[in-house]
Amino acid sequence: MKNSLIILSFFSLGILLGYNNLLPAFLHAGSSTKYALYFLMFIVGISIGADKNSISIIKNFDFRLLLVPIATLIGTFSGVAVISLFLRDYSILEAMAVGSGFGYYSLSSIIITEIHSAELGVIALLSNIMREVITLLLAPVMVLIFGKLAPISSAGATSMDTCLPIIASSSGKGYVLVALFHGILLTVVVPLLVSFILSLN
Amino acid sequence: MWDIIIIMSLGVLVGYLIREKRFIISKVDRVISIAIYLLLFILGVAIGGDNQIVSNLSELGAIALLITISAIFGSLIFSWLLYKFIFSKSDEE
Repeated sequence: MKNSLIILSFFSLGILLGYNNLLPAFLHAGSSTKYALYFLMFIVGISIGADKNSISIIKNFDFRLLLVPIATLIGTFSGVAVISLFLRDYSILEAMAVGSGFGYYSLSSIIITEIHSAELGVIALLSNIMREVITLLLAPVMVLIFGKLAPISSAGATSMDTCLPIIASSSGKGYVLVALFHGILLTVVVPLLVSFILSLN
Repeated sequence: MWDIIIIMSLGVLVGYLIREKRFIISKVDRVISIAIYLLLFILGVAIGGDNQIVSNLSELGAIALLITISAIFGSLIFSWLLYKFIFSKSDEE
């Protein structure tokens, strides 16, 4: 939560400075941000490769574990596909690129801004922050109505970190491993899916 | 798209090879946070300088909310089916 607030303050500070034209022009997008994104992707890769959790989860792999992120993927894409029929200004692929952030708002909005547009990047940032916040607020209710996998699926990629405590308390400790695997897999998949979907657009 | 995938896979490989070098690995998460702060700051600047986006911010927020609600609702339905038909059985054991 603290991290989200820091991120939001940097973002808001950027908006204020940009709105009042207080910054030199070279900061307004361009090739420098592209290399910054490459650098970010490289170190995100390093953190995944070096993570002991991801290695141990691959070793204790259970087929049922894989079904949970698949349900999240299918569910998210069907939901977003339906709503995109009602969105005049955005194509189904654009809406799906936003949805495929799975709550990983920082990375998905950065990638979308870089390879598509700042406008869709803002939607992705807001939408994926909302996904995390709604899950944090409603996890106990979700378990009551939709069963113990519900908050994991709703949390998306954040089921491994920000939403893990609320999942553990509302679904039970037995679901922590499911939540970790789900979050790690979706975290890896987000940058790949977002750029793949936008390349189809 | 391929540039991002290749660079990230290279990172995973490098990360796996240096996973025992705890000192480097312990710094990686910090560097990721700083890079994210910086890039979102730049995203903020791009948005702030774009009058079209600033004047439509509330509309963009409403679209974001619609997409989020439908994404969560779809996820809830499919996770409910999965729970009902596969997971709940082992829960009762």
